[in-house]
Amino acid sequence: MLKNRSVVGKSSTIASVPLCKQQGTTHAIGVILQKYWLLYALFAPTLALIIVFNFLPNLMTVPLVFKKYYLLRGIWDSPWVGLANLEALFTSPDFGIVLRNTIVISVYRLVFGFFPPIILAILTHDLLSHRIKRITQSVTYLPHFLSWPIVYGIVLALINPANGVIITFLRNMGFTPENLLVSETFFRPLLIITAIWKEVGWGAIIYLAALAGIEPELYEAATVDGAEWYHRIFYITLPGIKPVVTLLLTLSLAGILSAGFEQVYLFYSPLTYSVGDIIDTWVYRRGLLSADFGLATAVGFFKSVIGFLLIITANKLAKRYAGQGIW
Amino acid sequence: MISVALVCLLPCLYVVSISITPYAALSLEGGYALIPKHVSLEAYRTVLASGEIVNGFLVSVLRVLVGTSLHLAVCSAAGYALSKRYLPGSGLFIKLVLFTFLFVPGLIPYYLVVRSAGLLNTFWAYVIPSAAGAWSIFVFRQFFMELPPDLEEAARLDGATELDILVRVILPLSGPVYAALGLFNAVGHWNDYMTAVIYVPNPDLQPIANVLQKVLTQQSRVMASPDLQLDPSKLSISAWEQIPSLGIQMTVVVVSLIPILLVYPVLQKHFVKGMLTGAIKG
Repeated sequence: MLKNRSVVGKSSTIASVPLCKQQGTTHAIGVILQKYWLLYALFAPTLALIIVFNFLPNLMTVPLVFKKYYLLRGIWDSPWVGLANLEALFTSPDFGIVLRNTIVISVYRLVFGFFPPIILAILTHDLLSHRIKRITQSVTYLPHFLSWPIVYGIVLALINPANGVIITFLRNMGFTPENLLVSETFFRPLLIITAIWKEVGWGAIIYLAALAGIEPELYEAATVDGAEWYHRIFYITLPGIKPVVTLLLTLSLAGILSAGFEQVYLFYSPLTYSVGDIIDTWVYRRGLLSADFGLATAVGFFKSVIGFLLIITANKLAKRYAGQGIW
Repeated sequence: MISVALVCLLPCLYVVSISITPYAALSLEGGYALIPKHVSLEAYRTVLASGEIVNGFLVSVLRVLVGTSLHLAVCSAAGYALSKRYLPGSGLFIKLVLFTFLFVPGLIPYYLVVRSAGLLNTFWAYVIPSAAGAWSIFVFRQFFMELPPDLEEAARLDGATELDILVRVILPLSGPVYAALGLFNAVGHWNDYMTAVIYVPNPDLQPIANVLQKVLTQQSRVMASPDLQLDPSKLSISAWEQIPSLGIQMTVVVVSLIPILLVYPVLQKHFVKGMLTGAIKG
């Protein structure tokens, strides 16, 4: 009986199945399916889901980009329009604005948001009391678990023009602050500040783990040699976390076209479209709300292609400079 | 140390802003002070009596329970199947899963597929499309591959079937992974509001995050309208009446916060562990 002569774990399992004739192949497949039925059954739901929700939409992207899609006619009966959609895309005045906003916001996020978690981690790491450390940690990464509507609610409480806490305070000091919620100049900073506040604690976790990996003896030796705290940071701490930092930095570059749909959607309004409308929100409005499927898909397609190139490049760069990539 | 003070500023900011404002809900209009003179819980009564909020909670809880269980079941099954190197075709399957990780479909085609699948505007739109996640699958796969093979072989020698091995040997050992990934998924479901915005307009199926979002953004959308900017008196009375007062809004915020705050201290450690497992082992 096969059960007792276990051949599990050896790839020769397939070879042990008879493949003498053409019919033998079908027979072989049947035998394999029977032998490993459970494993295939376990994978089946995933396979079905992948096909329906990933392959199918990806396949549909091509006809959608090159056809003018009429909802009632469906995909097959909608006419081909060649490059018309793409042309409309690149000549649309909105597109320039949207692309600029997306990149600018992403870059801001990267430049201003990348370092606070590192700084926080280094500060926390140096805190003497273990208890304070834990409390600080718990408190700083709590915002990560709040949904964006909650964060927006807090923002409202602080700066809504009628009775926001900060606004009232400024008024009492004699200033007349403008309506910050719909202010063009303040929109991007608001976005970034709230995003940093939300994620700094959570981001610090990874760095703290990396910091914990640095041998304490290095620090002791340095102190004995007369190093000040800033020497220790520059010569021991920072080099110690360099691999993690490089890896995360390169990977962040890959996500540069995704500037935070959820957050922007919540924070923006028609008055701030000119500075805040990003690719995803624009696609949502033009594509779903105005049903301009061809154009919106073209944008989505453009974003996916660039995104794909970015992540491949980022992974290669990460492997080269940080020693490891995501795969 | 200055650094300690800086680090502690962050928490104080949000604790103060939320806790004070709702309680000050019925202080006289004149600006909310940081520390209220009068405290009234009437706003809470109004909010909690509202069917919308209760419904929102129900939907969110249901979504977390069903969605997370489904996600864990599907992904762990796939992870287990793919962890067996001897499975014919597993190489191909792994590449397929990786493909989904790299090529995320655009919003429009995805929307059209969801629509064709009949999931639009149903509860299932929350749980089915997200049931299979490449990241979760890989984490499970990694975990199963790292279990000692002797366990499985010993079980086989004892005459156990594949199903037996799975249920009696592998599953009991997998507690930590399920817990960690399950938590992540649960939090994701609880906080997600975009899905309902795009795919589920039905007002009876709004998760609490969306109820909150609606309550909060009505005000800014109205305020942002060009008419109001030029001449507030032009705005009709009915529009004003539709905007919830700040007091109500903040109360809804607090009400949404409470579940997370309750759950958080208990599950903190697991959150962190889960994050590290995924990130460091890759």
